[in-house]
Amino acid sequence: MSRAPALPIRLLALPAWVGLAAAGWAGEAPTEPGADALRREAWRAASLLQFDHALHQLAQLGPAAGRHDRAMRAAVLLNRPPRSDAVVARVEAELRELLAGDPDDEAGLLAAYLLARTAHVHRTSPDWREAADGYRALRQRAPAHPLATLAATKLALILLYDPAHRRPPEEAWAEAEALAPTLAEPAARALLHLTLARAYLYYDGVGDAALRHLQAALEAGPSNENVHVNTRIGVAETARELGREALALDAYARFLDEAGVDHRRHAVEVLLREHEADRRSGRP
Amino acid sequence: MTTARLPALLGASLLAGVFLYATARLLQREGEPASPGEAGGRVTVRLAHYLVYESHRPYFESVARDYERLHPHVRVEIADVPIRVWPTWRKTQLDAPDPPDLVQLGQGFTDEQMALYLLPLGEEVARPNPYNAGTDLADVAWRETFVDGLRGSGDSSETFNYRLLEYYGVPTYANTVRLFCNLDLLEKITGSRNVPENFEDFIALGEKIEDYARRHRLPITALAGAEEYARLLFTQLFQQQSQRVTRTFDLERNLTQSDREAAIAFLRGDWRPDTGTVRSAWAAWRTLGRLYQPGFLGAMRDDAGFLFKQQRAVMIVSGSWDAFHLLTDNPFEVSVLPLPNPPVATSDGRLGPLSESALLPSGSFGIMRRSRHPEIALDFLRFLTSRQINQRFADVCLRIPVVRGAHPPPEIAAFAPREDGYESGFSPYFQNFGRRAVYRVMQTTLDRLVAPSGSVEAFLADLETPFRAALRDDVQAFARDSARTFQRTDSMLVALQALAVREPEAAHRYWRLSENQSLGESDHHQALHALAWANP
Repeated sequence: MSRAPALPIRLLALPAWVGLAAAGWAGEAPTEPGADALRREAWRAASLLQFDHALHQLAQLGPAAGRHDRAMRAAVLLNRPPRSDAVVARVEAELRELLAGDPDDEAGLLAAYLLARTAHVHRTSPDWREAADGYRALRQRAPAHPLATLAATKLALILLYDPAHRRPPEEAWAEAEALAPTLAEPAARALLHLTLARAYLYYDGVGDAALRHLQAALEAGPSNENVHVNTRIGVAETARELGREALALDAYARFLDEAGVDHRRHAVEVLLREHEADRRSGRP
Repeated sequence: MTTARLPALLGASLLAGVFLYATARLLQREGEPASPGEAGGRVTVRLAHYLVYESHRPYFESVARDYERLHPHVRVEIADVPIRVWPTWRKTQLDAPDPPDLVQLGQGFTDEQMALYLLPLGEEVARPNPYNAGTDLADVAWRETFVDGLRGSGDSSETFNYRLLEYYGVPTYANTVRLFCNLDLLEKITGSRNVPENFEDFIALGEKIEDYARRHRLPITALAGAEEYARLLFTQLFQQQSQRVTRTFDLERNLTQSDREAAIAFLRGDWRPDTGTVRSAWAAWRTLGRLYQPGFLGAMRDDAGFLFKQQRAVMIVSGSWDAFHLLTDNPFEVSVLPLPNPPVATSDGRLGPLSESALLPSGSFGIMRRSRHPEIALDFLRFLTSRQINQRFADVCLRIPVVRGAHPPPEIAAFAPREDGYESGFSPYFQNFGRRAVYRVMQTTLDRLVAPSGSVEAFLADLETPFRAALRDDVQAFARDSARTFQRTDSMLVALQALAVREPEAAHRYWRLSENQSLGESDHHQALHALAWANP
């Protein structure tokens, strides 16, 4: 049978209760659940371009703001109008400080990704070498992190579109190709294969490499429905031009199954009908 | 009381009367609603649009009254604003203390404006539209009740915004372009009501009309034209004539042309304005240009419509948005026809007629975040886009409906989007690309092609240098604009990545947005690479 604690023991709880009540009434520094709600609201706002609202939420964190909140604030400031090189430089300074603080925690990884991005696409005068090094370092540090996974495709873009080369050198293709097997996330793999396929088509036109990557992208599964359907028709057209008839016909047929109302439907139906007529008449 | 005190008494009485009247008015006002959204116990929702056409005002009013009958506590106000002042008006409304509850999209509604001022509709469009009850759409998700399932396209921002991965509007109509022909005038001139069936017939008819007008000293032309209307005709003809060459530079082999791909192909020397089937398209333009009234490139669309209504032109090319105006209230019969295909003699660039399946539903409406009654605005939007009301829109305003199962009325059956066609080739106007530098060059050079004193050679000589420079400018502008889009996406992505730890849906959005961003970066880098290595 349990007994109620002795009175002195019960009295010990009083200061704790007073403290908790005071924190709740004062309503200044957000309690942990409150801070969490503010953060999530800030992230949600930033994910919908509502940057001012996101900053307002983060500002309300006050002393509860941590390293990750600072990194997120920098990410939002990067795009809050008016943008300028001075803003980018200030954001980079903040991100470098965070990275130096701890390169391996969530804030450090976020800072590392954003620093590579600023060097790649945010500065008026990009520094692709710095960006590529940043992407590589992030991938080495935390290869499975979603931002590091995405960094693989960003690195491939730098390797494949350096304007100094009319066509990328073989080692650039090789490094970009080698990224694919390292990606466990199917969406990331599909994206990298699509990026490679597009580069091959841009530089070389239709060829086996482009087809191989289009097929690999389909197998991994593009994230957007329209990209999936476009990739399917890409496989069909590329295979047809390469004389891979069975593969082309299969892809066209799947396209008709997968696509809804589509401006290419009639052309594909005509093509399949003509092929069937040729087959029946024994024409090559 | 003495007469001397009378004026003072009258003055005091007047003052007291005014005071009492003012007090009564003030008390009366205090009884009125505090906000303009509530009146006499009824809530008011306001819808603003720029469809200022003769037929549309009574239509919108009738829909509003019908909704009020179903919901007596609601009053629906419709504000129609002329399209010329619409962008400015809309801008003032975005931050106004009492903005409209529902607003028409399009006309430069930016991603930022959508994100900041409109309510996302993703969850709502996944639910059935209750106003489709009793039909086969009763249990269908609202988005799937539209002919395109609100899939839109990468550039569409009126329904599903691919850059924000969110639905912000639902559409009410689609647009196609056709040839309107005055059959009575045609018969008077040719002795027959037979309409032209191909390009050769069309040109022959034009010559007959020209001859008739000369002989009878009448100011009649084959086509009533304005720059905008001529552009519709010229563009479609060019897009057919360039179908085959466009397939050769289809960078993604996805049978979908884009201005970006055509621009890169030009920079890489894959096509030139003065060679092959592209050159033959200019010749067809020149032939068509002779059928318009003199000075048509300087005319406005109202001028052209007036000529047609006044029977000073046998035909006019315009879109379904003008169907009501051009088909009704005429003392003559009008037939609607497909546009003439390019001439057989130069048809080696064609694959076939243009498919219109890619036409995006338009006339979308979104709900303002600061709407005082968003739930009623949403309900009215559902009502407006129910099959029954969309069919009424088609019937009353002669518009192409976009709700599945609603059909164009017989008068505009010829406007129904053509599905048995092929993908379009490119347009030399590059109308929505970069900073529209090519578009301006085309507008200022075109008279050298279509004027009686002009020629294909003179036009090409004048076009060559400015076209090349303008296209480079537009590619650079495209690269700048696309960079701005994916820069902005970085902030969205890191936020989604943080959210994804607790919300699986955010992870899905993260990868979808990453894919859109990175493929956009491929396009951007290709454009810059093509500029760097283009032939000077």
